[in-house]
Amino acid sequence: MSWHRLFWWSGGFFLCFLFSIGLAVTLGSAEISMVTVWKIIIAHLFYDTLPTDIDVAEDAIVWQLRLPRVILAAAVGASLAIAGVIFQGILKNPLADPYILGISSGAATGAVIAILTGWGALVLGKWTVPLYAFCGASLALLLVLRLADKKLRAETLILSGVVIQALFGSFLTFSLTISKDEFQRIHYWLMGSFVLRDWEHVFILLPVLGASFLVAWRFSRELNLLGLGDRSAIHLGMNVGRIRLGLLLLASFVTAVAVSIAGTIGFVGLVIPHMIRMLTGADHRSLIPLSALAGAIFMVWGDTAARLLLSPRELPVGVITAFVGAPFFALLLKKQQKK
Amino acid sequence: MLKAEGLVKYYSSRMILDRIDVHVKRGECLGIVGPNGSGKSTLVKLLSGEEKADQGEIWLDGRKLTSYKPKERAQKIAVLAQDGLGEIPFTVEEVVLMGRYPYQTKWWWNSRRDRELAQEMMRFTGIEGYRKSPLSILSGGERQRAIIAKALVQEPELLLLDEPTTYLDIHYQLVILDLLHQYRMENQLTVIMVLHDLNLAAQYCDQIMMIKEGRIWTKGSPEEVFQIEAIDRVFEVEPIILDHPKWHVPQLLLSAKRHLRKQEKIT
Repeated sequence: MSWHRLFWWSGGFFLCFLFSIGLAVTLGSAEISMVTVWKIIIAHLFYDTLPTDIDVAEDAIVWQLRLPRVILAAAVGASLAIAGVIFQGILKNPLADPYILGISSGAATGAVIAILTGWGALVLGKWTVPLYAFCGASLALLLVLRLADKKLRAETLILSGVVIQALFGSFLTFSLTISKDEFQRIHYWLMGSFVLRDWEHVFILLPVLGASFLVAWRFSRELNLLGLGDRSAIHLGMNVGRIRLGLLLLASFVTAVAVSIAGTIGFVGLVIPHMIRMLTGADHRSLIPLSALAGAIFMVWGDTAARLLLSPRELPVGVITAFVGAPFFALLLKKQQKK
Repeated sequence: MLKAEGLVKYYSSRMILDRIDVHVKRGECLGIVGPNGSGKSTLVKLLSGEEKADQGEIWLDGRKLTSYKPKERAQKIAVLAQDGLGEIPFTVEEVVLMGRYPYQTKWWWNSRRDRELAQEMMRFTGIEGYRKSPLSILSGGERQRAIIAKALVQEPELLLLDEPTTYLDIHYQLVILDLLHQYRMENQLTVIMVLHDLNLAAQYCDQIMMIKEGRIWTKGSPEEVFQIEAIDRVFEVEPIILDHPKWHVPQLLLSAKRHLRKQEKIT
């Protein structure tokens, strides 16, 4: 894709992203207009004081409750989409995604162990849960790659993912059952939710997302080369083994941090990269930034739907993404068989 | 240009290559022929640096091949592997530009030279019209030309080809080999290619190396190598050897044994 096309596409997506954030924040039990929302955001970003026509309660709803949640949803969506792009690129498999591969379950298990035991919390601080999640995700990744055949064909990869998911799922349910106090907290990891998330979580995820995005984008040429096949990539002078391992760990890491904050939300990493590939082609130089933006938009709307559909009760956001993603996955599976 | 001595390669405990020596001068074309499973593809893997020899050493321009960094090596050696490219979602131009990878250090944008060279090679191989088409919709012959364009934008000094004409009809077999020959003559490119078709090998290669069971049987000019007895020992067929009326290189005419026997019965 040429520079100016990427510029227009990403510009369009970015505007859509800003609009989505603005609109998502206005929606909820208390009605707040778009203008007020942006006034509050701009006031917090650039000035120290609020404009006089803004109510303190409205400010609290927007700045303390809704905005961090919406931004977190966007960051999680972008993270999962990037992880999906990397997994699909490296495994040369259009059906790969952190959820289907069982990586998310591994991360959730790691996170739950951290919460239940509290080991290492003194040293690691707010990074305790994400780091445990990363260990769990890496373990799941290792197991999946061990279980699948060497050619990493779609069928065996998905089956291994199912097995790993079942294994880690049983761990999760087990820990859920034995711990009464932490039930609420752990419950989120199973279904995925942005309830009770605040700025602190945003500040954990955003730097991870930013760094992962830059690294993944930096290696988009290598991801393209891997698409030609390992041998061709080696012939072109690429250090295949090392770069592949690094990118797999990166994808697991970004998945782990997203999961440790919002739980296992499925299918985002599958659906989004696919739609972008259909729109603008398979070149990772455009696929990575556009998927990140589209993933963010998708998750903002998914979370808004989760908040509003059964208001005042909330749906886990994973329900929404699975409702959209599972039929999509079925379609892709059918398409694969035709080949 | 390229010198390899005493190459030995084992896969598990099976010996695939047994003390192979290769010498190629700059601008020369060496053809490697031999029956299936004789170790031809393995030899290409060793010469391309893709795999390491268990014994023996390879020198490229007087330097050990193992001392080259991967990208440095890819600036000198381009490879066309036997398996070609699978189902890939990229356009022809994107694939050809990937050949510039060994020269790109900063992030991933293509320099003006990258784009010009890709353009030039697509023109040279005659696939300019498919620039924006996905590689997957191209026919086998067009695809192979795109892959050759990708190898040539690497600006290699040595080109290794493993069966560049498999799956191609006779028209494209000649198109591909003529293209490579023309490029070789104009650019002093050294070529080492594995070929199944001995007649094409005799027409396009200066030197032929015939291997069987991982050992060199004979090597030399096509006239020296293509002797009835040697062909019989290596391939277990008895061909008739003719002189090509135009190029004066040996050509093999195969006689089908079974077919003749059938005729004998009828008469």
